[in-house]
Amino acid sequence: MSLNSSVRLMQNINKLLRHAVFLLIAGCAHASVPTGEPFEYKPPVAGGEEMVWYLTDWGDGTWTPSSHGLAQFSPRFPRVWKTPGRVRVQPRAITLSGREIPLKGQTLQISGPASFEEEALIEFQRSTDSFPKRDGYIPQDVTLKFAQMEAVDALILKKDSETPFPASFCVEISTDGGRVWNDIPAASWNHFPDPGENSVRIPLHGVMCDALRIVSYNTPPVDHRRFSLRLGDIRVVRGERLFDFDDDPEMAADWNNMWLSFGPAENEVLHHFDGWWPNDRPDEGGLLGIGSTIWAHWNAMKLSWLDDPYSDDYFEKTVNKYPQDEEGLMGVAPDGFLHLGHSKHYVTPAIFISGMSYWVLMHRNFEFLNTRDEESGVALIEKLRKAMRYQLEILDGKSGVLTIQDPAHDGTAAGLGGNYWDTWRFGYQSAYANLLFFQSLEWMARLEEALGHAEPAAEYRALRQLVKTRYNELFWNEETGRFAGWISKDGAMADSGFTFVNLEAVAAGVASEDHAEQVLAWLDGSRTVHGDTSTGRDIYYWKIAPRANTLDAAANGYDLWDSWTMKNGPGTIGAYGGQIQNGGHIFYVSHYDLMSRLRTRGIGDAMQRMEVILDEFHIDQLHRKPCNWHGSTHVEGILREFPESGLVPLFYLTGILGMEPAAGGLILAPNLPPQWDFAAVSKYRFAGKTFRIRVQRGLDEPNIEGLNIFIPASGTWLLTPQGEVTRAD
Amino acid sequence: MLIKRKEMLAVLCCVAGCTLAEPAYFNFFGSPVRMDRYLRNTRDLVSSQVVRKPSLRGGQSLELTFLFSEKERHGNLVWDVAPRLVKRVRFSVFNPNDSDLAIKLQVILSDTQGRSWQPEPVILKADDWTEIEFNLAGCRVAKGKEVLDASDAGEPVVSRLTFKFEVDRYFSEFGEPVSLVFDGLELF
Repeated sequence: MSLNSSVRLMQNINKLLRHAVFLLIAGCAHASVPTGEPFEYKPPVAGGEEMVWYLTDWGDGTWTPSSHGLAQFSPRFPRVWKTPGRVRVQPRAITLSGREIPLKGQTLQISGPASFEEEALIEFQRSTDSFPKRDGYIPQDVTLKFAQMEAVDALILKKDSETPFPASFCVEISTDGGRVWNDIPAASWNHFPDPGENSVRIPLHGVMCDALRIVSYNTPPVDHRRFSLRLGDIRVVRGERLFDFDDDPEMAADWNNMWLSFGPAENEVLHHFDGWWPNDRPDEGGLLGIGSTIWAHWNAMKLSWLDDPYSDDYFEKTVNKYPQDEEGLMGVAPDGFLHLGHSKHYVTPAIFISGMSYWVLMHRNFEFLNTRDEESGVALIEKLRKAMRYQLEILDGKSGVLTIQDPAHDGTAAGLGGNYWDTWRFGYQSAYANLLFFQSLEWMARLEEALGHAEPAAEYRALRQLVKTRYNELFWNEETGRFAGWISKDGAMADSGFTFVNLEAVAAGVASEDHAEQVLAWLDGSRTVHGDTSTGRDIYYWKIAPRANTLDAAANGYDLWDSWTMKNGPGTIGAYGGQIQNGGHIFYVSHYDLMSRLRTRGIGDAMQRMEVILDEFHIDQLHRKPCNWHGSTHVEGILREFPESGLVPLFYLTGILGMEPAAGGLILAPNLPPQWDFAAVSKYRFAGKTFRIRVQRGLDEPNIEGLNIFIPASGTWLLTPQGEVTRAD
Repeated sequence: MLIKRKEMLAVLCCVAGCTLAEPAYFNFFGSPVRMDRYLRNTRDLVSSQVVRKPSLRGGQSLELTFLFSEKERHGNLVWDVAPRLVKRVRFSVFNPNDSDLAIKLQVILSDTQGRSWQPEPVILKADDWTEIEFNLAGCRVAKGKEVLDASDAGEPVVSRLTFKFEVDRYFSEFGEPVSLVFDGLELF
């Protein structure tokens, strides 16, 4: 057995012991469960056409409800048992019209030492409307105010001794003492059954707030003509804040909550009861990821540091199904080579390489590279190298410019779209594809370096210099002072003011310093590009992100716009400002906006942008979905099929803590805002361990206490897989 | 007279409350949840906003503003709901306009099997509330161009309601703002 195999085996054993997740699917007669270990119960599916929510009676006086979802799926209910004994776990499903479906239960034999550790509870001031109302539809609430901002793990409710438990209620939070309230999408129920003496434990997954309320919009009757919301004992279980820093508590809460919404998405309504696509109206919210190749890098960035074995497993199984043709081009999804049956995506090799390298370098599970594609039997590492060869040879990346020779993707008015921004005819020499190629060279270099292959790593890095030079020569439009989207086979420069291309180019470091500054000056409106549809402050009309493009697609008719899904022009569904790809926006671009500003102008400029985003998040948690005149909600790209929204709050790790995996470990190059003394992350998975990492101003040398890592606020540091910290600059 | 009317309404509501099942879904606009997660305005329906008055129940209602155009002559309020079984629908609309501004309302429910369920259209009363309540069993049911027998269609699991507000070609206020007030929706 090789050293890698031994390490991998030990990691697997450790992983199993660490999680000790006993996932039970009803049907087993009995199950033995140890105390003190994470445990998950998954009830049988309810089935049927109508949506349902599930309620688990744990048999120990506690009920836990789920949010609603498709009845063909069921949720996983996590729990840690504290006392040994025998319990009968009894689930049921409740349809959205109120029909109860009893489900087969499960007897658990819980064994092991009892734990007498009490949960930390948050103290609060409780208030409620004293007077019943004559109209059951007038909202009533029970409000809990905390002395400070708190992370809340769970809310535990008991029925009032004299008043019916509300059949309809939801949980709302405030991060400003109760001025602005927002709902928790997953914590909303109709037809809630009478819990009797049971406690109703509502998981809230560490949501941060300084006030919380239970609201009923259809209050129960207290007599024949009056309605009132009354509850018995209430307890609030304290959690731990994930991103901890010493700025305004409201800002810290909103930042954490933004990650909770668009990162793990645990408080969202998830139709499959997990954070993976799909989900649909009207429950669209944040998601964890999409299993397509196009999302491989973003998925890795979001997921690789989380302690989520279920999603790790899902992701690793999915990526091994991505199709690859004989030359090395990747398909867009496990079940299809073409994007929606329409077009090839020539960016897939780059995304696949960057995503897989990121993933492996974070997990340090190099044995994973030897796992084989389910269909072709080709090992993952071979697929990665083949994808790189495809870029270098077939797309001629070795010349410094990736060129797509496919006549169907020639960037002309007859060309097809060829990347995530699928209505634009990115083709032939694509600035978007080339910046992703530039990134993939570095990620592959890091992976090869970690595997002990210094030579190809050096070659990739040398090529990056050439790519950067050629990129700034070829794609820079002197007339507009920004990068064009692509150069067609006819030599025409396609420049509709693509903010997403320009910002990702600057963030990736492929833009020269001068070009980077010119790009930001254009976006900030301090430099006007004559002829653009959107100029000045209007570029940030949507506040949380720049418009996708500053020149209306209609200005070029259909020369640049591939109308396979929609037309553009006044009155059409793709009219400027009413479509995410034409004057609308997709939120994830703000991650690259923040990183661009950090790289070019420093943390102060980036934080100004972040504060605007947080102010908007404060209003409605960015659960906004406006529609255009035609009823299409593809105007702002934040929710549903945009799990990459989670990259924006992830700026805390990628920008402020400056974290990214490298060949030798995890790089930390902190950029604390001047007013911050520290920035910490309480749970960060790296190399199979969960670290608590804190960047501290005033510290000269790193300090290591087990898995608690303290890093100075200046300099670049490397956290090794063994948990040591060395200087890296 | 006003007091008596209110008392009568209260008694009627009480009686109704005692005999009716709990709604499978309701929305009286009290929630801070952004309306655009559930509601969409299309065509000549240019905006909607929550207002406190006039309101029959829940203390709030939804004011709809139309700019009817000669070209479209209709605006839609599209209400998306997580799929649920629906047997009966109830809501009210207040039309503050004169009788010469006749506005027709056609409700269309879409179910998870791709069928549409349409009750008879209603002409909204002028300067008054119109309460609209219908059973799905009495609706016209269609799938594409095929009209189905409602008695064979079972009970639909509804995922979307479209409220189509329509004016005729002789409408006198094209291009002028016209308001209606939606009082909330109950699905049973």
